[in-house]
Amino acid sequence: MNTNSKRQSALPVLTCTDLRRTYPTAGDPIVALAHATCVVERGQQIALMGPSGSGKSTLLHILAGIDHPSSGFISWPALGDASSLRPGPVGVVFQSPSLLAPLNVVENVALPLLLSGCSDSEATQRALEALALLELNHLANKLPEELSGGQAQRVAIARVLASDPQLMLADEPTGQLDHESGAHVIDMLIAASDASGAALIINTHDLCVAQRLAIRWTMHDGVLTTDDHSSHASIDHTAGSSASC
Amino acid sequence: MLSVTWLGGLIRRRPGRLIASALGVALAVGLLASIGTFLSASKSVMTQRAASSVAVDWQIETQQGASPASVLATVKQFPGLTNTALVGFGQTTGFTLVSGDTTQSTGPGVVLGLPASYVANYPDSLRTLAGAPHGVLLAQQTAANLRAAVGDTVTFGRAGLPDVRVRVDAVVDLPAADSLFQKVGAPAGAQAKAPPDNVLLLPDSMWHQSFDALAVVRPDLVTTQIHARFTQTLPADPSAAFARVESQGRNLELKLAGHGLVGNNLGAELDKARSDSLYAQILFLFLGVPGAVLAGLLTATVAASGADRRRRDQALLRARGATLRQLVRIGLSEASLVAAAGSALGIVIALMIGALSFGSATFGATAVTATLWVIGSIVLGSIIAALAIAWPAWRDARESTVVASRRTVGRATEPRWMRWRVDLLFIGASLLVFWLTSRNGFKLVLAAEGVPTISVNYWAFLGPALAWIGGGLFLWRLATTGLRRGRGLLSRVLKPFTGGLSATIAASMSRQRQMLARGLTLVALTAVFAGSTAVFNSTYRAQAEVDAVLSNGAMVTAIQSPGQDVAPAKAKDLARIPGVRSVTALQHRYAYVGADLQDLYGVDPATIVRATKLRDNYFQGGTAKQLMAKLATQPNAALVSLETVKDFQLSPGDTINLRLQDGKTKQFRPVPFIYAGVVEEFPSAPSDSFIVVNAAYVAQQTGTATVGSFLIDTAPSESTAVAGRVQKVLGTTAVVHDVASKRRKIGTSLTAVELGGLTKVELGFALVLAAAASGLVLWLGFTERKRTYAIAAALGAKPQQLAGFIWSEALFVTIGGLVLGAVCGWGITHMMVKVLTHVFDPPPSSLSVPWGYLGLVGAIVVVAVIIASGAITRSTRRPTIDMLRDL
Repeated sequence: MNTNSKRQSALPVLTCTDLRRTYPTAGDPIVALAHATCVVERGQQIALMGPSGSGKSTLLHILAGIDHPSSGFISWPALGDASSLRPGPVGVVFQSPSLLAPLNVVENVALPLLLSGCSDSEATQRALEALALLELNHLANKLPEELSGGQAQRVAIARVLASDPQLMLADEPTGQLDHESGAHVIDMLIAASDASGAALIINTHDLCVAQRLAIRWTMHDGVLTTDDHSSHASIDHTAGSSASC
Repeated sequence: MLSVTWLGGLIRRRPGRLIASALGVALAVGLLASIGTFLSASKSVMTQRAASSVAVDWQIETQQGASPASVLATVKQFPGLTNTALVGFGQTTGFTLVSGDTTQSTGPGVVLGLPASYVANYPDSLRTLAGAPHGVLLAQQTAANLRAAVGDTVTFGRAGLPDVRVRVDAVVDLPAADSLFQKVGAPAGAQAKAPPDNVLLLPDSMWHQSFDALAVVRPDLVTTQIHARFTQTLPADPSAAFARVESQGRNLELKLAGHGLVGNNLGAELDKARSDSLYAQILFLFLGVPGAVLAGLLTATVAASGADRRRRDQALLRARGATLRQLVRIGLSEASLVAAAGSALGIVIALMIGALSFGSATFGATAVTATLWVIGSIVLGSIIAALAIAWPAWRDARESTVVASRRTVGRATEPRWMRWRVDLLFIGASLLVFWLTSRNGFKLVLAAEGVPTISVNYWAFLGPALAWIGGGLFLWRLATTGLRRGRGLLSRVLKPFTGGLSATIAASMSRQRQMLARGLTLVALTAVFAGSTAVFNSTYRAQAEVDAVLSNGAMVTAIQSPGQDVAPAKAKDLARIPGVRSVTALQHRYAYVGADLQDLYGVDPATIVRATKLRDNYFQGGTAKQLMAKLATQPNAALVSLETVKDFQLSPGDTINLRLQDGKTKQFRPVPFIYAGVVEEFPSAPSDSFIVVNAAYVAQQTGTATVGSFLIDTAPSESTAVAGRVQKVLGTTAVVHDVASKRRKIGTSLTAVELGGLTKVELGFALVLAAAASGLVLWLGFTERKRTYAIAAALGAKPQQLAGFIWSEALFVTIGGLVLGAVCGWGITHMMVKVLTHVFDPPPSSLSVPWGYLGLVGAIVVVAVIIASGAITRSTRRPTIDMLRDL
């Protein structure tokens, strides 16, 4: 992994204040996100918890720069402006399969790098390194449809890691996986965050997953609560995947 | 219940694909209903035209010993006959005209006796060239032989009886001379009897005065015919009409009990029309079937573009316990919906085409015929929908596993046909069949004259059919092979436009090669269909124009009446007429080649090439230009017919002594010529043997430069107007024809109107197919991959980077399809024109390419692709979250 000079910055990775997201309808607008104020520092590993429909995915999309708040303020002081987040310092792991069907594994992993302007050879090299890091080299020439769900999600993580991000966002990455595969995926994300110092936010309603992260935020009815679930000392990041839950 | 729920969901959630599939079915149904109904209507028109083109429907010749009055009475009682006229045929020993000190004589001839009402009842049997069409009428060639004019007194001889003198009241042309002087009762296939060179027509009273006495002493020299018009309603189909008229003729002969034989001119004309109707049927197959098949392929492609989604849906249903039967029912219900909607739309399209373009929703066919075609078209539409939608659904449900159903790309392996090289085998077989069927002597339509049965050599269809199938598969192979093996090249080509993404885009395209090859092949086949139909149509029209000009002589032809001494200098006056581009004077004489009297045309080699169209394939021994140059440099050169060359064993350079009429003595005397080449066709010349020579040499040798006609070139749109002006300048002594009028007159059942109508429908559908095959299929393919674009956008792809993916595929399909389609179309068109060569008269020396229409097809494809690609590109500019939400 390359070390980015920005990583040494003391600036927060992101900061947001009073975010609100509504969707207009013929009647009353739907409030997906009612209130969210938070700061994410470098290296923080955060579980974003809450029941389905509580606004977790909406918040995650806004934090990733994929969506825009209807009101409120968000910035990425250590990362740059919203237009330079992806591909680049922000990496997103989606809940559903997100590999491009006509590209093989190594091409999928290299795609964000190519989109950011890397040369073909450099992108391929870094993609192979990311796959090697996750011990996925043997899948390099496979097509997405030839992978299991767990393998596909691990490749999606490799795709994020290849871009050497400073903020990793994962939207229920284990939602469609069995327990063992899911635990393996979480292991990888945490290990990558530990290794690179990137901030990690995992959107989950799985307590087992949440317990493995240092910080836990909760969402209820579109309102984010960030102050009462931290338990830095109780989590052993290097513990076995399933043994902790 | 499940099917109904499923259909409801499809209508609400995926109306675009349903509408697109229905559009494909509609095109097939509309095309088939239109051209099928039109074909039936055309056949009816052919029958009507054949019937109206006959001067005299039946000529019943009384036999030796029979009473003409008794035969006439029997004929009059025969149902469905009218305008019966008793016509006498008397043989004469020859005609003589004494003019001053000179006497002109001819060989034997025929004198007809016509009732007073004959000209009114059979107006097409003769055309007046000079004088009024009453009294004594002299045939034009006889007038030329005698140098007779209206008012002259002509004497004709009777074997063993005194000569008869008559005063000529008019000079007439006999357009139907071949049938008028036919040998009635000649066996089928017998060589046609040439009409007599010398003919005189008398009022029947005068004829009886002259020939009743001859009939007593030499009954073999006098015959009587009863001419009649057939009034029964004929079946619409020429073959059925021919059978009816033939059987009626035989029935009358039976009633006449040996006292009369029927010369069935109407039957003979319908005999030709039934060949033409079979050619029309062949054209329907050649031009119409590929269109309907293409529309079916379009439907299949549209349905296939949603196959991945359907397979995923099926996998979900199967995972939740749906049975094979339920899945098949769902597929069938979707196919039924598409078939019903597509058929309804197709019928509306056909009705509108009929109403707007042909003035009748049924294209002029009967309601029953139109209904039958509609039913047939709906059946076809249902089959297409079943094959395109229900069958793949059944196949997938039966053969695929749930996991396999979720696959979208797959490690594409070569299909069996590709491994077995079926495409190359088909192309090879096509070429072999084409070689066999295009050899000399091959007849596409086998119609022995007078034989009731007529057949098409369907073997000939195999060549183009195999070429279509083999060509389509070969295009598919080229596209897939190119994408598989040419990935590096593709990447390099894309590099300037897509930068660092070029290799990724090339890899993506390579893995989706089956889908892209399908799109490219469909665009290419549409281009082949549009191109081959348009080129065939254009070539046919060009040949019809050549035929019209060849028959007329030039755009405008002014024929001088016999006896008029018009000098070539008159051409200068005609050249000054507004609209005239070029004029040449053409001598028309008669010359004896041995004992054979042939037409002789004296040309001005310098001006004739400008005044009319001389095609190279009219001549042998040189091009038209070379042979005209030879006539100019070697004034005594002569171009003769191939038959003459064979009969007289001529070699280039041989001297031919032709006997030409001297201008002063009016006697035929030998004039030496040098055989220089063969002429098979020549403007205004007859279809049998004739001679083309230098006019100045003829004038010098005969002492007269009298012009037979003027050939005048004009702009195509001005021929009729110029003809009117020429007529005013030349007065009533000349008969002026323009090519537009001639085209209408010579229009056989296949020319202008029918093929024009058929191809008008075809070309219109080809444009719609081109738009649908390119834009619609591409758009549906893109919408199926919205997920890919949404994920790429979520990963940070900029709109221009997504556009790189979209436009690379669009350009590959469009440019590849059009280029390969043009190449393939060129080959198939050549093959089609060669196989259908008998449809052309004369055969084309080269293909006529309608660049305007082809440009329009190309433009429509490009515009459709731009619209489809632009719409998808615009949709990728939406906020990323909106794209993700659509998934």
